[in-house]
Amino acid sequence: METGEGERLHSQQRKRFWSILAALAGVGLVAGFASGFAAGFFDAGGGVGSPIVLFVGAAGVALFVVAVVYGSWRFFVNADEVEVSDNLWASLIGFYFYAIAFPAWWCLSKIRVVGEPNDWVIYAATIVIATGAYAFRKWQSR
Amino acid sequence: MENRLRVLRAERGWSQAELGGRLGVSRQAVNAIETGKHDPSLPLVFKIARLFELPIESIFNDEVSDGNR
Repeated sequence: METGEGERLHSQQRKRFWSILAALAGVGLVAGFASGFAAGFFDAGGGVGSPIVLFVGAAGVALFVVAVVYGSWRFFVNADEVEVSDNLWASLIGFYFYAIAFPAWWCLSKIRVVGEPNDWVIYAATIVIATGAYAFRKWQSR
Repeated sequence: MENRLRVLRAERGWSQAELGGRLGVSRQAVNAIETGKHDPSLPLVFKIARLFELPIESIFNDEVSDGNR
């Protein structure tokens, strides 16, 4: 292998890595648009019973699920061990946050200190915490 | 884990990206290994040793590992 060959291989690896992420983001955009369109119609009362709106909404959700499952598989096949390790750490921290936040909020709501747990707030906070943990790991090893 | 990866790489005039490409890992992964922030897996350690044509113990030193973290 000549000097410079590694740089070419590295550039190919990074291109593959980023194209998977870009494709995932693109599919997410389309799925989000489709499901958002359907949800908007339903909220406006215009889509109830309409097969087209039902189809667009269900197709958006199906696209989202398939893209995340397939994209994640492709991502981990192409990711190196440091990337996998960073992802596992971030997921673990996110999971711990969820495992603590939900029961803590639920218990506090039972003694009427706070309101009922809000699924979306906990979901969003879990994603933010996991993303923050991932970004911290990346910043450490940059 | 302490290692001589940076020195060995410099001796060959390779960038981190060059070494990463040869090992099939990212530049960031090479940096994380060189700085001791990531302990490479056994398959990667063997790959590194084969690439530099050196025994593993002459590249990696596990005796100073824990104090570094």
